[in-house]
Amino acid sequence: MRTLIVYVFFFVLFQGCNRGEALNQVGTLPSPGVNDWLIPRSEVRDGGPGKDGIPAIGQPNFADISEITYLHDEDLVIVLRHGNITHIYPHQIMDWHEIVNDNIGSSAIAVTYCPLTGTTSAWNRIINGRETSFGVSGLIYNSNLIPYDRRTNSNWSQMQLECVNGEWIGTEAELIHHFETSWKTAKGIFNEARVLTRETGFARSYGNYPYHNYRETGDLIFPVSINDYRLHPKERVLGVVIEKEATVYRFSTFSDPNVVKDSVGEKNILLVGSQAENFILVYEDSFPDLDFSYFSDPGNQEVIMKDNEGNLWDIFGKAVEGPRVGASLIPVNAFMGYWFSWPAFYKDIPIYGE
Amino acid sequence: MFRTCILLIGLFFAWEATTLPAQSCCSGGVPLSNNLGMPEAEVGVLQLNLAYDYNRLNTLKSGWNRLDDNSRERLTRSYFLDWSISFGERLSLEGILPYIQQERNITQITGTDFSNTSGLGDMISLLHYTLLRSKMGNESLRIAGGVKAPLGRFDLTNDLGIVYNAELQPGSGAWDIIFWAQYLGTFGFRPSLGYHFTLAYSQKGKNRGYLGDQIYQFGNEMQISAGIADRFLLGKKIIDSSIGLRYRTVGEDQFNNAALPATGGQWLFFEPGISYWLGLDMSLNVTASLPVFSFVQDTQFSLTIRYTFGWFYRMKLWNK
Repeated sequence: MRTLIVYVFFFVLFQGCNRGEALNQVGTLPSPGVNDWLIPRSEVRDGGPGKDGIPAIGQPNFADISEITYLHDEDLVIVLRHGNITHIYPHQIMDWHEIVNDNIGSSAIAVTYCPLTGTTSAWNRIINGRETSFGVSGLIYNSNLIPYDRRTNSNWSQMQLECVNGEWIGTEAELIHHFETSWKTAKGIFNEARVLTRETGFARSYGNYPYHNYRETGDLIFPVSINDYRLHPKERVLGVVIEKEATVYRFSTFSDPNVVKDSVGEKNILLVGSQAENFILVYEDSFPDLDFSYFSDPGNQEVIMKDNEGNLWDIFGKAVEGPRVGASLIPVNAFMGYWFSWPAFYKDIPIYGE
Repeated sequence: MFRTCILLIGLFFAWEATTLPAQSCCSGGVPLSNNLGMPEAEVGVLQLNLAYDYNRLNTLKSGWNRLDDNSRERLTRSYFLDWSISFGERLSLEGILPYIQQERNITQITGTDFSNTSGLGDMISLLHYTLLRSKMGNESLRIAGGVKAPLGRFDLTNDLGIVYNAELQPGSGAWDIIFWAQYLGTFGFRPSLGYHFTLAYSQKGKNRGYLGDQIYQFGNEMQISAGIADRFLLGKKIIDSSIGLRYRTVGEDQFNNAALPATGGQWLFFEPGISYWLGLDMSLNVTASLPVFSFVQDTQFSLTIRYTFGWFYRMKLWNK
């Protein structure tokens, strides 16, 4: 009798122990089968929700600004213009989905947002001549989103702006110009914009921020490789990235709306910003002979700069009036993010003016 | 009959262990503490309960609200041996050794992502003491204290070599302190009709070796349950049936001493149970947990159903 009990117990135990200890299978998705990483694999974390546990939006719906009632003036939004079409992606929705696979005109674009680092990026979804879409891998590196492309199952680093694992390893993301601002500013400038609606195909509590008081406290949920306390960890700063070099710019530099000239790496850049209006934009200083200043034109809300030749420049760097009408400033890779995330990716990153 | 039962139970466990995929819960790690508390027994009696616990979460909730999303499923399957031995009039020792299978399924339009871990879990050891016992033997108050020792692994990885997050691991990597108390009584008008009030509290320890040098701590957990049980005869066999309510509250997990979002909450369960006695010393038992209400922190998965199937046996090892 006792022998039997012991036998049954050890049989069960043996059966259990004999099994593989950890499996990960993706039903219909190809497995990369590649263990090469451009980032330290030991610092890549399982964020918890799992692959596609945070669902990317694949069929976004948009509405006119006048139809949007769920946003408050101070809510942050991402503004992206392609051709003559402007799309606005509110953080309130991006917090829950992190990626929107969008099409604007004939362009395939992925707008990505990481709630933990507060960083945004917009990428061309046509990579190496093939269109793909992006999903949330459930992995994070330095607390930052790792999207995966669904064509090759490769993993990408949002802040490193390249594929870090998989078939497309080493491929750099082709960035599409966008910027972050408040809903109040966005709706005041872009009357014709289309705004992402809550009809995402998923049931989420869009009015509720999913990470407690994360935005205000100095605490991180996941560790980063370098902790740099020169600024409050969650201060929103603009990072400009040129040829793997980066500099951050604080809103306090633009407490009075103004234009700043600087250089990052080998490139001279021009920044225009307004703390009150909650935006900072960056362009290559393509016209070094021009002297820019902040300018607000009541007749054209998109105008934010003028120069000593009398040209008026809009928020996307296009001369809309004056002798150089039609000329464009070339946008630079730049995006907003919480301060703590920048030194983790760009060691000893300088802070403009400090 | 006895051997047939043993064989059937053995086959059931073997089949479960070998054919089912594996996995987890969202608040508090592997839910073992609701299985604490072997019945009081005479001196020298060894009690065994070989059990299978199925814990399924695919109800997505935000606070009190249920969200219409069943794309994700979390399962924890636990096979465990619960044993206790009475070595004094008031003292007994209880231990639980689990084998844990954790599973995470996520289904989106692009396909299904399936993750799975399994292994020995943490082991619970409790020392029970009968604090009060009525002269008639129809009331008693027992208390117990003990620990959950970190035997289980907490560093299992996926096929990319990435360590799974804490809740997907079979072990916690931390020593927990457990306190348990139970008051049992019977109604005078029907001596077979009993009632109980039970408290279980688990003070979670810190795993200081999580992801190498990080600190992870599951949320402290408290459970309060109350119920009634009665005994019937079905032919010549004894049937024990019970119904009860169990309130469970779990604090937020802490990662590097900062609260982790989407962990912690409160639940109330309705718990029916039945035991079928195959003899004087052996029974088959089934209990279920059905959520009555739940409130979760942020948005997380909440228990959809849980049931435990067990085989209980007791034997006298020595006389008083």
